[in-house]
Amino acid sequence: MNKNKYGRRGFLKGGAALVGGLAAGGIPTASGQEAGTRLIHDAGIRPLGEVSRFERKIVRRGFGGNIANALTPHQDLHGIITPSELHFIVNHENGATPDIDPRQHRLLIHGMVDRPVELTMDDIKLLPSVSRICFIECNGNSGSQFDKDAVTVQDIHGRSSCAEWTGVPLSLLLKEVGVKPGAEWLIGVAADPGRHGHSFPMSKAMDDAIVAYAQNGQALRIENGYPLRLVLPGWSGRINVKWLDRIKVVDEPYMNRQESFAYMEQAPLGMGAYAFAGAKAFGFHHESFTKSVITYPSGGQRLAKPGMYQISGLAWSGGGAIRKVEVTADDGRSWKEAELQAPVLSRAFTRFTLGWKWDGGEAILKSRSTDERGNVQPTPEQVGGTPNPTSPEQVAVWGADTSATCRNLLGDDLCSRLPVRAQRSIIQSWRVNRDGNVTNPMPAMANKLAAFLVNDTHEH
Amino acid sequence: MRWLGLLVITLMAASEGFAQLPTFNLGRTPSADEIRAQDITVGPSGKELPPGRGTAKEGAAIFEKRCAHCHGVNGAAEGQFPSLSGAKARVVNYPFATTIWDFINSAMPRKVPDIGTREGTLTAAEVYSLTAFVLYRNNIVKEMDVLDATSLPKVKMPKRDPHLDKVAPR
Repeated sequence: MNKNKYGRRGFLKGGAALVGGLAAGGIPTASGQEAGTRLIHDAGIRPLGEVSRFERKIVRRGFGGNIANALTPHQDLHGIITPSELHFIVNHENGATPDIDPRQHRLLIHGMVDRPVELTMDDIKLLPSVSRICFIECNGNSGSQFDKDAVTVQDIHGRSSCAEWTGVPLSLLLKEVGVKPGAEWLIGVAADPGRHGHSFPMSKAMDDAIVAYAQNGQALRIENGYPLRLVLPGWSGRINVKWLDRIKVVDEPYMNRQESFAYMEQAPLGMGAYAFAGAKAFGFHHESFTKSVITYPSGGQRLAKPGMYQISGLAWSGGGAIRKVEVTADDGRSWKEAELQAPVLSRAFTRFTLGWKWDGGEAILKSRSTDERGNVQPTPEQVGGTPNPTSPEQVAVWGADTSATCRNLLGDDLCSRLPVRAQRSIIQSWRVNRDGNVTNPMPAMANKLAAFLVNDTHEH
Repeated sequence: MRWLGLLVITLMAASEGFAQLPTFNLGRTPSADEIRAQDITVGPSGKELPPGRGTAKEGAAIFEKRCAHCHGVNGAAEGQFPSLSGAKARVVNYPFATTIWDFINSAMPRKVPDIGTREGTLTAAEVYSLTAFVLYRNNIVKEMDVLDATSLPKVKMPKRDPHLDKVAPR
């Protein structure tokens, strides 16, 4: 930096002199920001990095106004990492959030183990650690796709975020405590007011589950589970138990409250595998199905004039890495394969881009992802056209569940008849209107889908 | 040097007493009582259920005093808090009655308006009575049916579909 041009560091100190306008400084704009480039001297530099005053509108928002359920602003983000302060939160306790003193926090591991143990945060941080980039997605994500009030990609798909998580592999902890024969399930329990708990199978625990204390290099954010949480890469958000203080090793799923009432429509059989099959049928449909969405241009944005644009978006799958993303700008008449930006990681957001020339006419943009298992994101017609999600037609459309988890629990025969879940992975359309405004055209399809969902809830 | 050897052995034994991750020598062994105090999660088999008993009739009075401020008279809340009886009640969808017991026991009752705070605790008998009351208001048990550690896991929940029980019995 040229010292002569900008003056010595600290030359202007404190008070109003802190902001030395270089251009037409000091003129407030309609949005309340001061226009013009300015200089911050060292006394004005804060211990924590600052967001530019021109970027402060990029925040989490609660769909329907509830900030306890705060959504990630994908339309304004880049790359694959969600900044920690913009990671989504969904809170089923009316926003009640424990603000835990880590010096008092303990993790108890007990149940069907040889050596139950209680660990402090210091103990946990002394253990070998892993870091892994993966997404966490709420089961309810994308559920507002057909809602006329859902305008932006944040409104619709903001309940999914991607971060680098650091912590201890759960497999290491389980080897240390010694798992007894017959212990095939675990329960993670939160230190929140509802004592949220969730069951998950031993196979996932031993595969890639992490007891995490850091998010993007820092301690977890309070709302994301400080000081300790479970991270089960690719699996439904609510199993990634936040404020984790207890892991119990057990013989069967425990049907905690939130695994009894919510999101069961995403299990293979309408109101839930449990409701039909009892405990054994649980746990194999908690992977997020492959999904993608264009984040630019997307609902609520505006293209200034016809010309070249870089379509950009995110794709992910609970089943592994993204293999392919195709993009259409003519409502599906022709598809073109997008470029996947490195890194392309398993169970993480993958950024895709594709150059596109907008001729000024109306255009429908869509993206369609395929994951390493060969699963393809479904169209609304595929979902709406098959009224009963338990039917063989669903298996034909989406394929059977061939995961090892399913086969181990239920055997090949039953799994070959169970469709994998895809209901909230429907391809998103964005309409670019002639005036350049981008809107969500999907609410017009709502009636068709609503009829399907009613069927889904009551048909068994 | 015999005393030194003895000292080393004693120290090793002492450290083994509280350091429980064998490879890393970290952590503390909780006592059986400490584990029991925290081990409140009850699964479908009900094997963690404590002694005690209760009926819906007993539960009605407790509900009025401890629960109705959020859940409404007889559980028919219309507002922000979950309805526990009538068309909007989700508890009828639970496939296992033990879940109701577990949630009341581990997370209820709450204060208003600060619903993040527990308002005291409930005895096991009160939790059995309240569970019975919620089930009774949804026509799942009778008013005088006794719920305890044996009968609660056997309650037949209406939305537990027998269809797949045939292929995946539990």
